[in-house]
Amino acid sequence: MGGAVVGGRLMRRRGALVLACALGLPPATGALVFGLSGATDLAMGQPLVWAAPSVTLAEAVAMRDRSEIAGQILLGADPNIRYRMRDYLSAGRVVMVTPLEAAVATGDIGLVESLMEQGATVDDTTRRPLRCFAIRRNADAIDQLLADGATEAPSCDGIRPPW
Amino acid sequence: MIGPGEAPTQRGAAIAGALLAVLVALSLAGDVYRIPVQVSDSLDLIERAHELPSVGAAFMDGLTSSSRKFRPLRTMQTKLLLEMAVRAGGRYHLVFRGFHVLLVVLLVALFWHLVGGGTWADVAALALGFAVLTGMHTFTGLLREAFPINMFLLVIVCGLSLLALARTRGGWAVDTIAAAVFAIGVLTLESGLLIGVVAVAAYVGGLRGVSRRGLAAIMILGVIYLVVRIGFLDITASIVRLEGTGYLTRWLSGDEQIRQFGQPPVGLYLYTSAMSLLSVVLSQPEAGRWTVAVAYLNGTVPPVFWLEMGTSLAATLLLVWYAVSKQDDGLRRWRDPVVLVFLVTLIANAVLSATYAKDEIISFAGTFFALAVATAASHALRRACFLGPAAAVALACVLAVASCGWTMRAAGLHFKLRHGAFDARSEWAAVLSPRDAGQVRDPQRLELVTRLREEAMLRRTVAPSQLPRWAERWWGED
Repeated sequence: MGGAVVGGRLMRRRGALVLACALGLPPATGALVFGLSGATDLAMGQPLVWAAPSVTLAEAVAMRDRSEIAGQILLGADPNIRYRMRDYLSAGRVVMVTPLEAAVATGDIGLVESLMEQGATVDDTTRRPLRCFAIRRNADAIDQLLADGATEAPSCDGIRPPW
Repeated sequence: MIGPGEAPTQRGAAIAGALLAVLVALSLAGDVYRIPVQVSDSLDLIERAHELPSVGAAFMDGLTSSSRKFRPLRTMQTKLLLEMAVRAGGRYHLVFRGFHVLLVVLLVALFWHLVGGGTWADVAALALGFAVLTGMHTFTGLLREAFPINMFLLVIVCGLSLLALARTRGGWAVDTIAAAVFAIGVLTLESGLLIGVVAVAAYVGGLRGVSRRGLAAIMILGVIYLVVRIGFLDITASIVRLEGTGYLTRWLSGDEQIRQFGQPPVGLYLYTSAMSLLSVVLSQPEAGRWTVAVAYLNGTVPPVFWLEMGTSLAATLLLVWYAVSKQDDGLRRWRDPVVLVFLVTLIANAVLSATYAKDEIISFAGTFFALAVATAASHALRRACFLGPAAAVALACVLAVASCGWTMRAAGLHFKLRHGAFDARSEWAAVLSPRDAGQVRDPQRLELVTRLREEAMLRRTVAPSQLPRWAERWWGED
């Protein structure tokens, strides 16, 4: 009789444990993962889950991440040199492009203007290829912005985009 | 929730409960601290507070600066934090987001305290409670927005504090603190009136920590608040939400609201209140608009709707079962203080949302919903001990599915807060740009804004394009 009572209690306790685990384990696991991620974020500046991967200035432009562009230029990144770019313009390939070239490739005139405001320059050497990339992208407004008053379309013979 | 003497406290369970609370607090703190101080609805107030000579002047400015809003403590707290940041060497992010994190920690600690964690059943219920709290659709906006103080979060912390005070043995000190908590809440945000509702409901539910004397003090403060606000300062809420509000499957502009419902649009108020109430227990509609119906009419219903509505329905059914079940004395459990406080705040919160349906506003009731669900879950686990093996296995499967669903929703919060951090940082990209040159600032203000911008720019956030593409289907857009 006593054994049956003890056995019944044990069964109940085991059942209660199973139910508690079914209810509590999934959220507790989630709390563990994101709790550790949050602690890493607070201690080291980047979380474990969905950390911001390191990107070059050109990649930030390709992603249209205006805040990252401004942040990198604030930290001293030069908007007039070539940067490595992975995947963003051509899948699986690494290419070297300037931030302005990446901006022209996006077709976003606001991005081009923003870069020029932040120090990206267009000179006689870079104007023609940039305009050709814009024409190839059917971005007439960007072409006009880069033309700087010139009315003739540039000759694009021999100019190939790096992506 | 365990009353004294109901079940012996297990040391391991108590430690596990505390550890769980720490993990949840860390997860939220990391997300919140990553979000830069916002530009929209925030920078203007920071600049204005910066120009005010003292904290007292900021309070007076908050009394009279708006004909629609009466939030003097908001300006005062902003000024206070600004002064602290200046003393800390211009570390505005540290102080403003540090205060935000402090509120998050208080929220988690109070939630843990109110649910309790004395037994393993309580710990499991606490884990679910945290998932419901953080996975609720009302929580994302609540945690994300700070103008520049997170007023909604402050008011919720005050509301939970009042419930915790009501569970104490009481006394003069408790009554005084309760009145002070109410005053802080109500002078920070209009939703602070709900703190008084919590006090009354807790008393009706049998909690005597805040005595009749304390309740009287809160009510007198409430009357003074209304007399000063409406009688002396003539500050009243807008008749319609000019930005628009949801109605069935449409979005009505301010003009459309009046054209369709008259002025004041009483019918729309009733609809908005009812839908705000429903949104807490069903996760639909959103700001009065049945977005699930819109998605259906558009041909595809993404999984986020099934996830949100399914898990909310499961939690609501658990709560309904608990509320209608009987205690040993034969009375039904809807009189349980936590359940009663939830029901009353849900109705009061819905009424308060009549002119303006917004997740952040109804998040007060959402928090008490999570608390009530955790209480019901704890009770359900104790009752389930007496089930037969087959029924226990079946119940375990149901609980696991519902729990996984809420865990998924809670994970979505972190995803959405990454979006929030990106958006807040992006806003700074345009500030102080040559296009922003029309905005004239004196040298001191310019220095302040420059520093705030620098802090935002140097805090890297993941871009939405770098986040998994499947996530928006399961967690929705912002």
